[in-house]
Amino acid sequence: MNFVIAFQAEAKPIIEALQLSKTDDRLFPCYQNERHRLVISGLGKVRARKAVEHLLSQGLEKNSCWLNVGIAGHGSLEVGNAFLAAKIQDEVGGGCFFPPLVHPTNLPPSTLISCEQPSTAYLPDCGYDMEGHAFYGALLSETLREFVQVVKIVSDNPKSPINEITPAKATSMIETHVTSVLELTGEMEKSRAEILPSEEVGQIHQSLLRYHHFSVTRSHQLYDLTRHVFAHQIDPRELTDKVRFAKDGRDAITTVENWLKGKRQLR
Amino acid sequence: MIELIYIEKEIRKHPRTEEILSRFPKAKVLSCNHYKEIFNPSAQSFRLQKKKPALILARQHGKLIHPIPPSYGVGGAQNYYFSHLLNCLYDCRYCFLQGMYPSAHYLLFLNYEDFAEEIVHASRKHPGEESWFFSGYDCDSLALESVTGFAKHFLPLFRDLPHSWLELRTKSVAIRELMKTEVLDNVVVAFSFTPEEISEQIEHGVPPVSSRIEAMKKLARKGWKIGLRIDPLIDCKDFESRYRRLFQSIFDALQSGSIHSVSLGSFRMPSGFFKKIEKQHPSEPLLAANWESRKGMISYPQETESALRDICKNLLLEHVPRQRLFQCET
Repeated sequence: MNFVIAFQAEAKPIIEALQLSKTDDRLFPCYQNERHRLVISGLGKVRARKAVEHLLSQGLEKNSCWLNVGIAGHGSLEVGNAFLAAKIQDEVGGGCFFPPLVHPTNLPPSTLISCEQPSTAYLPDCGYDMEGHAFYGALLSETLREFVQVVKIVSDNPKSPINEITPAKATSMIETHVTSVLELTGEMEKSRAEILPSEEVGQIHQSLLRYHHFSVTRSHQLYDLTRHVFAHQIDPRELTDKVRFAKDGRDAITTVENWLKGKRQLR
Repeated sequence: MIELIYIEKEIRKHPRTEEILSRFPKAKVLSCNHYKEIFNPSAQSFRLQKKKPALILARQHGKLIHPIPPSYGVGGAQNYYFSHLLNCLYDCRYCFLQGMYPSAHYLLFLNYEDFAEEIVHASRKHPGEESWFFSGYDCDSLALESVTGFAKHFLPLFRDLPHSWLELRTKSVAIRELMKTEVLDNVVVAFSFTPEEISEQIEHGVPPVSSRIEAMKKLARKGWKIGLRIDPLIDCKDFESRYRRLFQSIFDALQSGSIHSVSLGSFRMPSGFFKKIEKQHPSEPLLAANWESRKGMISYPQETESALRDICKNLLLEHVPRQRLFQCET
């Protein structure tokens, strides 16, 4: 799970809740534990995009999850309320994103407009930040859209102006919603686990590759056959024997294919 | 059921939009310029969206009715399909929609009047010939009736088009609208089935076979013409006895006279769609069957396919005359 957060004051409650440790990154302040990474991007679109790129450059797993958290203005919600961005607009063009909202959460959805400068114009039902659009845009070709979400906590609205916000207030606002934020990230991770290829299939496949030389194509074929063995709930030890006692990689594929033919019917 | 509704700005004030919104007072409503902003982007997970689909209300532009593949008809001279809705309430593991669309959101085209206009136009193009209009290729025709009001709108249209036929294809038991509508002789309510044991494994969210048979029975009693779509045929253990039991239960409930047509369809799916579905459901046994790729389509090996079809054909001929039995092939 990757967090991109503009300011240290906003990140503090999450760093503490997840017990993240500071890394020795020089480009951006970064924190991490075994399963989470957090980068403090700084203010604005350019910094948000660069912070995403910085984390991406560290080589992440496929379909990783991303969350941008921070404070924002809002035209209708009360100060202190949190929302999940369901539509992310750029104030000066650049398209509109609609993150698919599939994860169970108690955070209400809202439109978010990302601005160049802090905004004091508040349209009803709209939130205002400076990073969300760039953050989302930077991840479009990097992961599934379901795994990129933006959560904002309302710091200002028409009744409560932006100049009253202090770092301490920002920390306290985020702190109030840490549980909801972490529940959401938990759900995102759960969804990710659901669609990832089975680790067990991968392990058995790797162990089978040791018995013979397999070309790239045959290795893929063997992976699919291994997956099919699991899909039909056949004991993988039988598969291992078929491969082990085959003459070579080619024979292994043919043998397993023939063996599986009679076992592939639906129950 | 629906927590999020996207609406194209163009149809925000459409009366049908207002009507649908009134059914979901708690749903969050978001506007968009075009449905493609939400529905079309790549890198969406159909599988994850299927758990919580949103509703998109849009206007469909361009051609609204399309010719069906050559062998998909049930005896009509001119055959078209049309889709007021993309995606389905149910989650059948063999469904090509999972491979065809990037999103699992329900995309509802509200401009029914434009669809109707094209249907009328196509009907008049071939005077003296029967034209068929199939609904339910890209959705279930009835399952979301309470939201879409689709049957309610289109049944009266066909009352005025006596030489045209409408097929409503469904796995649903949402027959209330049909039960309160006067029967139309040129409308076929077509139910698709696999045996219960198969349905339980791969047709997620679909009402039990017995409930669907009961719904069919009610419609037949009222006088609606019934279609049976045994499509796709699924190879399984005890294939013959399971399909025999299914047909027996159906024909025990229905009188042969109420059956308009029965069609048999083999499993067939473009390879590209199949690969996408396989990626989404890597541990699904159905997708790990003995599939073969022929001319870019995934299907059972020819021998298996013919055997399954012959078994079902012979079983069905015990109940229906040959002229009412059709075969869908690609």
